[in-house]
Amino acid sequence: MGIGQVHAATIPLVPPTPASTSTTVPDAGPPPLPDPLDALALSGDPGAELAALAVESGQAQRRSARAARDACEAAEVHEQDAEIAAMRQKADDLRVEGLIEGAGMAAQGVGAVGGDATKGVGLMAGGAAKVVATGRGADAANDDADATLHKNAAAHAKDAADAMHDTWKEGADYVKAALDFYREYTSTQAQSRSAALHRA
Amino acid sequence: MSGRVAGAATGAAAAVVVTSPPPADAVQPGLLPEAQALSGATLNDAMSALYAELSRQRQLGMKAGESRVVEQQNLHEKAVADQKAAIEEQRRNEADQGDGFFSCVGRLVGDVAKDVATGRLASAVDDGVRDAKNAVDSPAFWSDLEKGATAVAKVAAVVGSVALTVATAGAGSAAIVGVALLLSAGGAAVSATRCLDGVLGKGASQYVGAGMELAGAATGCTAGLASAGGAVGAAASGVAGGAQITAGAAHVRNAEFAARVQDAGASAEHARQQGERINRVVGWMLDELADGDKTQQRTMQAAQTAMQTNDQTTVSAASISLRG
Repeated sequence: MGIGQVHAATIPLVPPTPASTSTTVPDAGPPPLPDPLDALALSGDPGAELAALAVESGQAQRRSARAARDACEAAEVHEQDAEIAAMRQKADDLRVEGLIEGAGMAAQGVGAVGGDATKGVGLMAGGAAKVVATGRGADAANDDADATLHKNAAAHAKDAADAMHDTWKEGADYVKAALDFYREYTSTQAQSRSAALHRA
Repeated sequence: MSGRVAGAATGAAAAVVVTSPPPADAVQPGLLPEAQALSGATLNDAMSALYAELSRQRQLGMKAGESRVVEQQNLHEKAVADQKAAIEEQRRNEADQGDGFFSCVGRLVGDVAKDVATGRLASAVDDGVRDAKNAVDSPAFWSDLEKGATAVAKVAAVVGSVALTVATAGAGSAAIVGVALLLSAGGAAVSATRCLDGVLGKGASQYVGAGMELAGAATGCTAGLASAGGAVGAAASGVAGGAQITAGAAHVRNAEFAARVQDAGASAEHARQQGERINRVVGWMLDELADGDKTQQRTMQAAQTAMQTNDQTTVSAASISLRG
């Protein structure tokens, strides 16, 4: 079965037809050989049918596990990118917060230098700047929370991807077990026939 | 299994044989040799070709896998280098990195003074610019400057506030001066008129008058201090304002350094995540490579078994025909 599968997959046995005169293999068209798994499944031999079913099941498990693993990995990348974006946003917020707060301090200082007339204005400007800067500080704290949220989501996605890879390996083991079973089965059959032949 | 393999190979050959060939002038070189009538030898040749192809496929698969792993390793090395660079950048921008305020100012003054003393004015300018640039790029310098300026602003504000309190505590210097004048004038009058001798005894007016004059003088001094306090308060307010401006500018610069630290931290984290992911992907690739290789190995083994079975069958058939 394995041979047939590899044979069909790696050596393109395309019969030469008038429509296909070049050496390139056309993508479309039915394969020249029956699918080995179908052949086994429809052979009427219960052992072969069981093996074919198990192999198909294992292959399906591998396909779906691999697709799920890739999806989980994509989700992990997405969450990690979001985490980094939140961290960079925090950097921007810190920068703006410092700028506003520093400008407020300077305005307060200018007011103090100007004397009693400007001192009040400076204090008001400093207070207003402090209020705005505190808002940006709160944004920075929110960015931290966002980053942590995305980090946790990325960790979950990573765990899921690892679990899917384990499932993929289990699918591979399942296929191997099915093939081993079929090998054993055919070998036993051959031995039985040989023994029957010798008895006859 | 081997029988199935042989069957598959037979099917392949049959599929090629059954199809009617195109006209000779349209025939291009095919992927497989021309089909021949099935016999033990041709079957074995086909199986040998299949075996050789499987072996080539296995080697190609391993080579492709190796090159993919090497590619991932290069990416991993790059991620590690990026992470190191980001951590270094993060460390460089920490508040305690670089030379502090006094160190920077001391070096600047020292270098310039040394150059001026030795008559190298051009070097003095160069050294001054270099030292100033180092100071501007040093997080510790700005951190110290902000702390120092904030402390100066606070102290100056307290001093100014106390001085102004002293100044205004005179209820306007005029009131203090008035009291001083009253005391001095009253003392002089009491001494001259001796008006209190009758009440307090002979000579008492002299003492009381002298006491009032002394108190008037002391009050006059206080009025002078209050005036000076106003000037000190104004000067202290100016110093506090200047220090606040400096602290504000330093705060902006320190916030820039803090933002750089945060940015570098994000870059380091990004590189770490990439490196970790590449490691995991390489692990998955190796698993898949090992699985694919095992499959190829088993397939080749099956092909080998099929060839042996074919050979044994041929030998058995020959033996039977010889016996017959």
